[in-house]
Amino acid sequence: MTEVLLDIQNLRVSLPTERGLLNAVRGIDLRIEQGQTLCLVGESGCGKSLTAMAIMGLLPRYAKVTTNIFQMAGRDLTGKGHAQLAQMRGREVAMIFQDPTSALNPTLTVGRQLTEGVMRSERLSRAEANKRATEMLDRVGISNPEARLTQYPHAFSGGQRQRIMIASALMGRPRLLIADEPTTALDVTIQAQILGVLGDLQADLGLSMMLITHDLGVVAAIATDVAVMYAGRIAELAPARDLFTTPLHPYTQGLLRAIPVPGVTPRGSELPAIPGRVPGLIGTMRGCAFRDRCALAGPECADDPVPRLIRQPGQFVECYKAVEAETVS
Amino acid sequence: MSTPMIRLTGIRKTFRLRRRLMAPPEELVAVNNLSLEVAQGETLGLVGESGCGKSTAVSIMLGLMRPDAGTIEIGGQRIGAMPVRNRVRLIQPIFQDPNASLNPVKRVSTLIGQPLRLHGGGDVRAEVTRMLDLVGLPTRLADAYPAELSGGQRQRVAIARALILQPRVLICDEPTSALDVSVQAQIINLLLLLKAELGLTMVFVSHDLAVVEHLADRVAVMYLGQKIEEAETGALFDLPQHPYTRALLAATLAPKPGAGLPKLALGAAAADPFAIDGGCLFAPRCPDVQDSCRRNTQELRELNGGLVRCERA
Repeated sequence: MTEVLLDIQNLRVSLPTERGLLNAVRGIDLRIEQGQTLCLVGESGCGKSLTAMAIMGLLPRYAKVTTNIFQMAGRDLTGKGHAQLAQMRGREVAMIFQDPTSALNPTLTVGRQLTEGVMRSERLSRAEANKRATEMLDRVGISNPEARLTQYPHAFSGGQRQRIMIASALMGRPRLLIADEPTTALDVTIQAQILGVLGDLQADLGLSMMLITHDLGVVAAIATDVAVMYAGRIAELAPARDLFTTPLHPYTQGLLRAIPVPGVTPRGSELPAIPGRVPGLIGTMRGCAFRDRCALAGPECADDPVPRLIRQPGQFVECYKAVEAETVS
Repeated sequence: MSTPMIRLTGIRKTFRLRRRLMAPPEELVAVNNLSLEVAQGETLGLVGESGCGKSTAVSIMLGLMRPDAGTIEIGGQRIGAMPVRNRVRLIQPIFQDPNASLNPVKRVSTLIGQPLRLHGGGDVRAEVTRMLDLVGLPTRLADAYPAELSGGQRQRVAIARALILQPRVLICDEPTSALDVSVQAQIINLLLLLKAELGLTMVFVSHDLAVVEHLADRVAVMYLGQKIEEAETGALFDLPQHPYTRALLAATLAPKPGAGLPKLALGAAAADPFAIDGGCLFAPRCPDVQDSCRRNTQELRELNGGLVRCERA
């Protein structure tokens, strides 16, 4: 049986604001098995980054985070506080961020930054830690790694800095890697290379990944499974192939239609854009959050709870119309 | 042939930068001998990765930066000699991030009407209403502040402000990059509509090749300050002739399942604008490189109806 590295049920994140409680993540369930790459996709404000930060225990203390079940790497963290999560960070689970330039300290050598964590957490000697850092830099494709440990971040290009961030995340030998838009700040040719590094790591180390992105091209390239988020909920969860060939949620369908695809979309044609905008998340919300922008919406879509159609383990959609279509056919 | 709407001839721009704190300043060639022509009503896509000089080229076209050498003509007139009040009626920009380009303490109507108030001409209130309608914003938003608008609506405000002086040329510098996917399509549709209705000449700068393919009539690809390929959009996407263009196209990930990752064979090094000596600038990363590529300066030449800067193409 494959090991379940992450199992979260009913994750909720709320943030107090001047205008009331902002319910940014409104009850999501996530499950990542060994070797899976789960992509969390959605537009800005859909709660994808907050979900990752909550899992890492990196949210500020004023954020209210609750879960019914929270298990990670075989440990039950349900209801546990920041201290327990901090123990997991860097060892069982590690994270990389969008902008490697702001994530690296410009005044410390790359070697210092890579080794700092493991020298403390695993009590490795400087020599042992350097050895591991060399190994990790080599693994992410930095040539001449030993010499480069003594260099400062400015001596590396943007793509190389992101490779260093990945190496740094690997230092504690995590089993789950969470990457928040790891290639968004990079050029497309560099993006392809970094995604290649992540793919290789997964094959070589059996790493599981949760990758947050808004780019469906990135999803198509490396995801095994996809969760499409909208307004703080998972609208649709599916194996990557199913999501692209038979999207079930009207929002997923709209997103896929709205992107021009070279060689497919007629040049200069009007793109089928999704009208309107994402709803505000302050206060309670009733019914389907997408209904104001949905061409299929009917009166029932304003009612709670929106039914969930489970196609198979690891594939569901939350939509009245999708459920209706399934019962008819 | 009629005079092109935009004509850049032999543009060169260099900056002097220190690579390290105490190092002597070195010369960085941001744009090297760039020539471009855009016909009336045409949309030129300008693509390339960060540091390729596309934003510098845009600033020079807008007259915001003076080139070290070369000339810019807009509508047949030299832009260097043109007073600002004439220039702004010819050419206007839209930038990437409407959050940064709109003053947060001004109302939408003020923001859109500002160029008209500054440069005079016409009934500001009536014109603002007309512009709101043109870019698809409801009139009730005239009194709103940028913070009350969505990203897409803010970009519409920026477009309305650019168009209120009725320029003939619109320079779009990554206008959809900061927007969400569902909103991006709305703005692309608006630009297509404006182009058709107003006969605008556009330069569309982007790193998103799918968007460029959709909008542009012709595409110029830049690498380290040089134009390395230029062709009709269809020809460029069907038959890219420069290895860098091929790599760019391959690296563009289509939202299709099972495509996997492209194998680019570009090496881990990135383009280094300081490491320019003789020979092809792309040679250090090129998968097809030969010894002669490193020796010979590559010239732009005509090939299959386009222009390409590669001796092996």
